[in-house]
Amino acid sequence: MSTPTSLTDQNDRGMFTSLLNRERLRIFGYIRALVPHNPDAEDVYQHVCLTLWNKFSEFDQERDFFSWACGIAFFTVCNFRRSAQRDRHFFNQELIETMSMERMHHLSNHNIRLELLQDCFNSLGAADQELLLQATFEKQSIKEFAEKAGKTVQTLYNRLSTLRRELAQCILRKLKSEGPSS
Amino acid sequence: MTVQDLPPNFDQLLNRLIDSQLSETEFEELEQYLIAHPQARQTYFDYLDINTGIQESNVERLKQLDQIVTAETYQSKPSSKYSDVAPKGKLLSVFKYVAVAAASVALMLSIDWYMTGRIYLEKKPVAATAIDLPYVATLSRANDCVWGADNPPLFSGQRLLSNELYLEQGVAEFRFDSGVRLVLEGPTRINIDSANSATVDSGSVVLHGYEAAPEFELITPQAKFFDIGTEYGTKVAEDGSTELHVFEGQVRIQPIEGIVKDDPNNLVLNAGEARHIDQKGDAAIVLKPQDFKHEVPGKTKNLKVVREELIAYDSFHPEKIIAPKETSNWRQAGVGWKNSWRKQLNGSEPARGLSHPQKTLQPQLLSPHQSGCIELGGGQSAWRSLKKPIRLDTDAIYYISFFIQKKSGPKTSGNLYGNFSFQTIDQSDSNKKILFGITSENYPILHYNLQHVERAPPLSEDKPYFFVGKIVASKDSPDQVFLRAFSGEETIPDQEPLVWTCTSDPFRDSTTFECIRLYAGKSSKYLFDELRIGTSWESVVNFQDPDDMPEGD
Repeated sequence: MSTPTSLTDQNDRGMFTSLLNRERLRIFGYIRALVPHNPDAEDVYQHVCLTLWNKFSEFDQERDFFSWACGIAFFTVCNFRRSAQRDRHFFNQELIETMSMERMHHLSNHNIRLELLQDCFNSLGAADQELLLQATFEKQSIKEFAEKAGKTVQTLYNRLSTLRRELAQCILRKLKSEGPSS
Repeated sequence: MTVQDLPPNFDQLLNRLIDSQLSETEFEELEQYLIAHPQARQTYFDYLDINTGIQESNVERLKQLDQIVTAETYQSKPSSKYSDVAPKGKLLSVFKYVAVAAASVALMLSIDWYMTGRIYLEKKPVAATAIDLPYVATLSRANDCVWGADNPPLFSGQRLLSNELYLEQGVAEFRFDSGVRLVLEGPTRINIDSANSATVDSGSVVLHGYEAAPEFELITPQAKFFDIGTEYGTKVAEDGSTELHVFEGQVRIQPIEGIVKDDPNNLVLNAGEARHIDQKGDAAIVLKPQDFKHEVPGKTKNLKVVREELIAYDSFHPEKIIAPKETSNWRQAGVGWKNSWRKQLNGSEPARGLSHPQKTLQPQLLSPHQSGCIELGGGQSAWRSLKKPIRLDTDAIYYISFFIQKKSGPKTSGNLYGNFSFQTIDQSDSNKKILFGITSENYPILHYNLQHVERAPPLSEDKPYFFVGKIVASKDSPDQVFLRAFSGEETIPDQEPLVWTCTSDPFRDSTTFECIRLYAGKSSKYLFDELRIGTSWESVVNFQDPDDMPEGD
């Protein structure tokens, strides 16, 4: 037989999971901007998730979950930075604080931009799509891909820059014509 | 400034950042661009989103990461004060382990029933079960401590559950599983709430933050303190008024009562600052680091005590060297044993294995009686029974140490492992053991019943390693086993270390291990030396010959 406590826990978990499902991409996007190295960002994300769950009883459900999560993520990033700064790339504290606010604002229309990205990405040629996918494949560097493709690293970097810029502009154009502005 | 106005190499730097190829100088250059140009930051954000947006596996990857808190099998969230926090990234493996263990047991039961027709459950129940993770901290050090309240800690090294503790006098250090350390000076009343949180009702506490830990929450009657890579001290008076002294880093203060702003950063106190907080408000005060015990005072343990804490010892020193010297008799040395080394648990035939009477794996011989080590290989076992067995059915702590060296040889496909294990006289269940050793692939391994914990990187062949195991036994709480492998270049600490090589999941067991076994796989050769079993860290890392230590009365 379930106890009232376990029912409350289940309800809490259900609510928490639902909120996290909705916001996990934005929360990670926030952390990823402040943490330059992706494996570090994943590590911080996991810490943040633990802290969010442990403090969930303190969360005021009238508030915005994403903003609350970003508050906790910010301090987790700061903690992490203190340990990582000696041996890894990490942005300085001032830049983290500046980017923290801007990134939260930037992520306000993240879901729309994600949908538009798919449209823009699908409009690219197959070779360009493949290059972008390979470039984001974490376990392979551009150098390795360049060797396989028989091209120079610089050639691929140049093409990637162009493609990313085109995609960013494509999203911006579509936002202006199709959706609300950020 | 528009995107087109950004420095020409900005894109290149972003590419290299995303590709994890940035040099230190390039990173600084990128950082300067981001600081100086708002448009650079927007472009950086856009590129990150493009990158993560086109990775189809990104959502699955994040789900995998946050499964530690969203998985249905995750244990109940603490309702308020008493909470448990799983170690980072660990829980998933626990679920897998439990699932695999359950499936394995089910399969074994089925096979047993099929082969023998008997119902396995009629036999003595399997004692060991993997359980959830209730432990949150370790009493790592204690000096002249007198404890009050119920369930006081009994000895250093003891694992602690969420609990209310009262340190009447003395100085004690708790190391939380999140890595944070608290040094308490009696009289102090404290609740250990979780691996990440504690409540101080009264007394004096110094918190040492841990780099990789999430924010640690220290709750006092007037405020909650959150460390930001910190060392700070707090004193809580009986009337609840609280002092906070920040020695390093920063501390975020969140009042218990009053208006909590949306911004979680209500007040941040920096290193060198101190405040007094009571119901009337808070005010800056003079920082007084000298008013706190920052560490537990070091105290060299009396050798007599160390000797008393040593349960068994073997130097593998042959009394007499005969020709050829490898055949010298090494099987009777040491103290704390019921019998000599044997080939089989229940046989009388002497254990095989070669003696190297003039060799030692210990860095420095402290006594001529310590010279000599043994070599086992080709599937050889050596068994010996303890005068004082290792009991998991009581509140106790045990340590084991030995030197081990794998000899290099022709590479074969397997059977290159070597190990030490605690065993039972009843050998009906071959899994019933606690084992510390090296795998065929040279990884250090801790093996408890069905749990196998291996850790990279692999150890080197032809180099001696000093293995220290720790067994936390508890009558009413879970048990746990740890292994630390030290290389020859490392200094062996006087006190139990923060970091272990392998840690078992907590389990419940009431087995008594009466004997030990050394073993080398069929295709391997291993050297073993200086075996110690004791009830304290000091008793197994003090390399003195126990014959040279003063005996107890």
